[in-house]
Amino acid sequence: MGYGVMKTIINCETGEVIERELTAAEIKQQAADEKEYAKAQKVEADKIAAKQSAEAKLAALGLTEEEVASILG
Amino acid sequence: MPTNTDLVTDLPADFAVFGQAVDTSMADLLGGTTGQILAKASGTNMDFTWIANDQGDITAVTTTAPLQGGGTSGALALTVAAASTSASGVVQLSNSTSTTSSVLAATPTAVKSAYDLATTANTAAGTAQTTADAAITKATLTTAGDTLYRNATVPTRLAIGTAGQVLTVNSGATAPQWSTPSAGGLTLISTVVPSASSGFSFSSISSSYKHLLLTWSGILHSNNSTAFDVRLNANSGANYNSMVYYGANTSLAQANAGGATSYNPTVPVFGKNVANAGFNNTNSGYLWLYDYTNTSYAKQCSGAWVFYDSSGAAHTQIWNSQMTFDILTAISSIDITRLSGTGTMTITTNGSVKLWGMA
Repeated sequence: MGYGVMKTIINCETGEVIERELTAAEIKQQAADEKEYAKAQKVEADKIAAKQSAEAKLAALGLTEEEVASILG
Repeated sequence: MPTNTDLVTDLPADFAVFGQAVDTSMADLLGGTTGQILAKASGTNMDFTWIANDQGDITAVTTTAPLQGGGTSGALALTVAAASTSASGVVQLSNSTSTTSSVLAATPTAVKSAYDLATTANTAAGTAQTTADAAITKATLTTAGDTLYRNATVPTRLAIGTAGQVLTVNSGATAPQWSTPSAGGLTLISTVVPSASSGFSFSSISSSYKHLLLTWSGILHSNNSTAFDVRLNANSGANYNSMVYYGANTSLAQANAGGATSYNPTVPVFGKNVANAGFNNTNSGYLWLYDYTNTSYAKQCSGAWVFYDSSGAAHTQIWNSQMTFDILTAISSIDITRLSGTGTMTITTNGSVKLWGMA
């Protein structure tokens, strides 16, 4: 039973190169990776959005770009 | 002497004449000795002579094996016994060149067939001998890992070196030799040129180096919704702790990952959304994995990479990272694995992924 996704294994000791389909465990891991990746991207996007919101609020208080940058980095 | 029509007038006289005629005719029968036999003396009638009974020189036929029969009288029958491997005798001829009989004898036909085959075999043997004479003696190599090279005249054994040694040419440039690489040297362990790859792995990495260096250039994804990251020893546990500073256009940001399941799922090492080669900004970079065989400490890694993120507000991103891998086991494999999407990874012109060993 194949899963259609191939993985290349390079044996550094012998130089042998094997291309094989992902195992069931690797397919399962890939699904978990997909969720982990999406979660990490959302955290990063939220962080960027929060920074942009803070920048906008600080600017609204009358701070210059340099002043905002000195606070937020 | 009167005839049968004559008138007998003087019988005594006639008998006398008759007797004399008989005596004269049978005179040769007179004489002889015991054992003599009568033989014709000439072609004339009644011309006999007595001779000794010694005509012919066979008086008995005595046989020895393989001749059988014989005797001293009568019709003598003689036969020859069949030959065997233990006795001489008569044998049957055979044209066969395949029989296993031990009592048949080969004919010239069979001998010629055998001769012809022997001639062919002899020719082949001569050719084989010539080939063998020119071949390399198996015994030249005596130890596992030995290699073979030619000196000035003949194939010669080069004994296996020691762990970590590399093959070089001697100072006279006349022969190869094993040499210990000088400190700080790089040894190329393996090169991969991904083509529509969903991921790949460097496995069975030798433990003979001090550090590992992974370099890559020209990575291009087939779409802008795929991400590839790095794992060590195929470990997908929450063992990766990284701190990544990156610049996106004019901004500077930081992406930390504590207890991640790969190098950094926020900013994957082999890029995310790297599908634009138009600016020659495919993913390129390096990772330096320190003291990868140490089994007393967590592994440490640093690296940098750059790529063009073609998603959303497309911009060039430059990354500098430090990472610890909370595993004491020596590193024996490095996986470039797809974290997200269904795209594949390909290398643009002159690109490759290389794994190096550092002495």
